[in-house]
Amino acid sequence: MLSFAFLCALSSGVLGQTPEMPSRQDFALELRLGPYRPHVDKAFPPGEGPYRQLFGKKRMLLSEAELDWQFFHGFGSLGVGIASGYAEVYGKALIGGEPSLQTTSLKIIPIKFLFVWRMDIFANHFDIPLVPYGKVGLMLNHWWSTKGGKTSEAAGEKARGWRSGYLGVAGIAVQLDAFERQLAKDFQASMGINHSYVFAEYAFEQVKSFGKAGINLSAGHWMFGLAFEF
Amino acid sequence: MEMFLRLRRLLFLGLFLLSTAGVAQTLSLSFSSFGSEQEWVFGKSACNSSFSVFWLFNPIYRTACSGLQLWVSTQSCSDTESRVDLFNIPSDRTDFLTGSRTVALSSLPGFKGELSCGAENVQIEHYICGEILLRDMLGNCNNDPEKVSSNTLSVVYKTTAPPAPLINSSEGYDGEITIRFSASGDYLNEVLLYGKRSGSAEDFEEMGRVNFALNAISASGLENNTPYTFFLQSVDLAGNKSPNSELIEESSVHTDGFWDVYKQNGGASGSCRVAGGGLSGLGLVFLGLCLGRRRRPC
Repeated sequence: MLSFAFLCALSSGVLGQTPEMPSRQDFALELRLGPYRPHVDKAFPPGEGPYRQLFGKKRMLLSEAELDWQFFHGFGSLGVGIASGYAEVYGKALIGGEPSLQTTSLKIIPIKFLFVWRMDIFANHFDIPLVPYGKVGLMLNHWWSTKGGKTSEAAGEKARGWRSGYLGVAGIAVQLDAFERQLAKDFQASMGINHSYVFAEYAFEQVKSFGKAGINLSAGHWMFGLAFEF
Repeated sequence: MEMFLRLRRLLFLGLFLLSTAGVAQTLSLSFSSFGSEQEWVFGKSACNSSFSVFWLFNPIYRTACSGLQLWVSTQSCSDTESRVDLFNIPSDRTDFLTGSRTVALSSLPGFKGELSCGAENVQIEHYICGEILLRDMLGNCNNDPEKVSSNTLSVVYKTTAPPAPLINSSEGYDGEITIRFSASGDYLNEVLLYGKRSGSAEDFEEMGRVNFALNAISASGLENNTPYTFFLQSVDLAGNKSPNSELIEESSVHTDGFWDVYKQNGGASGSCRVAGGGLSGLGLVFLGLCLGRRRRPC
């Protein structure tokens, strides 16, 4: 026993290394953005959609941040998360069907409550730096529309409200640790970030307040971004 | 190898000296202690007042051979004929490197006779200048020493009116009109918009004001399909107002924004208060569970 302890101490001294302890990992932070266009016009006959008439083919740029709490690490990681973001689009209000100089807009703040499953066993145990993942959840969109810088009103109704729905997301992340291991170790030691990723995901959102009448803010769109686990 | 190292050392030394030569001593003047205001334009109302001159001297590698000379000129800082000395701050004073002095407007040399402060339709300019003579690199004061000169502060008494702005075009939309204009003149500050319903006995009222450089001004809160009459007026930094511009008549008209088109084309209305409230509550419970759950052991 003593000679074994002596050999361990000697090897540590010779190699100058202490065994690495895996650090705790509880959270994930994502920052992402992507093109976004709600399906407002689907409720209208072709050519009468207000989104197309006022904003043409323009897509919004949706930017979002998400924070997940990873409560389980086993066959992949399971977590719950909350995400929010912002998107807006501008166009010119019409006079007699022709564009005027007055600006009109549509603005949306999505809020999402998510269950997240990340299949990170390939990256963490087999050195394959790919992490497929999926998310499902519920969402709330706050929206409003302006004209001339103020919230619009038509037929006695203000152009603002909330719409709810559900969503599903499928994505793939590339773990960056594999490409720069020493930097990843330094990142972990100095900032507590266990892993960092770039990712692409597709979100399918049904935001029609579960069939209740109102503006259709459903969408299917790609998002791209950076993620950090810590 | 040694020759190479020596050459490299010499190159670095040369580069260092060249770079430090670009960092010269400076003398800065300003009307404020933050050092940003270098121009003061005023009218009759300020005639009995005074202003402060703030200075900051950074000597860097050279020291002063003389005190800080502050003077005023009605032409330029390089004109000796119109130069009138204001202050000399000796180099051994505690406020030599940075300080301030107050100057009464009435003491400025440009205000004489008919051109006194209070005269109408005049523009009288004064320039505040500063200078310090420097010792040479050996620390000596020469017969013809090098000097560091300050930036110039402008003090302008102005009671002349700027020209009226020129209206280029106008357009009316929902409850609002926009007028595009060009405004020119010395020391311009703002353009004001006045308007009233056409044909009414009301006085014109101010409906907006913008920086003159923006070239467009809007009035909002108007009744659609009702003609209004407008004019513009320029105002300079001394508060002098121009004559009124030409009158222009314009009406605002209803425009269709996103929500108007949505409703006109039969878009369904309705918000999600109940479902939204329920989902918000669900979200809060969700968060509460996350925060309340015990952390798993390490």
